[in-house]
Amino acid sequence: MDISSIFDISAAGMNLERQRLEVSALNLANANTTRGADGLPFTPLQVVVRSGMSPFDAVLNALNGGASLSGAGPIGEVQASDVPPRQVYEPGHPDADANGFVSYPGVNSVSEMVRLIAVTRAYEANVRVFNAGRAMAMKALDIGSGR
Amino acid sequence: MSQIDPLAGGATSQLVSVALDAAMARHAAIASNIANADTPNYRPLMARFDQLVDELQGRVTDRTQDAALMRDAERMQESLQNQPLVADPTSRQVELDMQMADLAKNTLQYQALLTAQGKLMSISELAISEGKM
Amino acid sequence: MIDPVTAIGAQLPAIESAPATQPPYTDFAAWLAQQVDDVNTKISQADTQVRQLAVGESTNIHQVMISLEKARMSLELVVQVRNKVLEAYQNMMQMQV
Repeated sequence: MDISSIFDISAAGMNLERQRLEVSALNLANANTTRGADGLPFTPLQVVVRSGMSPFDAVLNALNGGASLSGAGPIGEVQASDVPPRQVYEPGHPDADANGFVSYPGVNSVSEMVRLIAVTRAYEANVRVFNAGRAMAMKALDIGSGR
Repeated sequence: MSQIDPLAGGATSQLVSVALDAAMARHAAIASNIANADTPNYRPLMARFDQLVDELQGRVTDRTQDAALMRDAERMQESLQNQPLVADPTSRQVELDMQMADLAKNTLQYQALLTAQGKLMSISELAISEGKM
Repeated sequence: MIDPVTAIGAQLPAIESAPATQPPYTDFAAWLAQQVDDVNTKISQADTQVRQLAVGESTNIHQVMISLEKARMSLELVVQVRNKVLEAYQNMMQMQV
């Protein structure tokens, strides 16, 4: 397994965490958007993660056979979340429906904030893995020197 | 008895030289991308022949093809000098952390190649000096 | 709690009794020729691995460095043996009969 596939895996991890950060930022910013360009309340988004290399056996074989693992990092897809909107009784609101209820996006601000913390830690962890891989490879260059 | 030519001028030195040139071109692209991270309407750049693998992969083990290999490597080196950087077709926006990761990868590749080439040449030096230096 | 020294000691007899892979050479010339071939193989292998590193084929950086170091040490061994043999020969030629 060569060093650049290790870097690619960490890079894919960082990419995924950044995607999740963007989605959380978007959800939080639009937590109170009752009407978008299409006239409907904002639809919260979520990131669905899948493994880049599946099935799991392929990853095991690659690791055992020494083949390259690039492409095995996670891949995130941004999808619309099907959380139903919150109904709040506000009869004076311009977007209120016939019964006086306004549909706010089903964004749970608390869980988005918690997700932000998790994303930060995961990103840091990926950066650490990357730096460790780089330090190891740099040390390998020292083999045979110091003559 | 010996089919290899460890002295400079052989195919190995040529390949390493091309790879080092490509690494410098890649560095220039990354430096430009990082510097222009906040420039509006900036298209990220990449080095031409960014992956030498496609062009030369699988041809380095068979030493009977060395002449053709050297010609192709020389051709790549010339075109790297003429127009080293092109717009990156896969990315529309500079992603700073990906650029930093590429920078680390590229620096490591450059240093590894330099160290390896130095060691190869010191082997020749050992033979030439008969171990008396 | 394992006593580390005892654990290593238990493995030592197994290592010592590993059989030699080749019979000892009785002919020095044959040994030297064998070593020279060995050097050539090692240098060739290291050279190929450096090429693979250059074009970005999948290879370990530490593997390349180790191969280079092995090649260098093999060559150094052969060169020093040759020097010693030459020195011994010259010494002998200078002996007064």
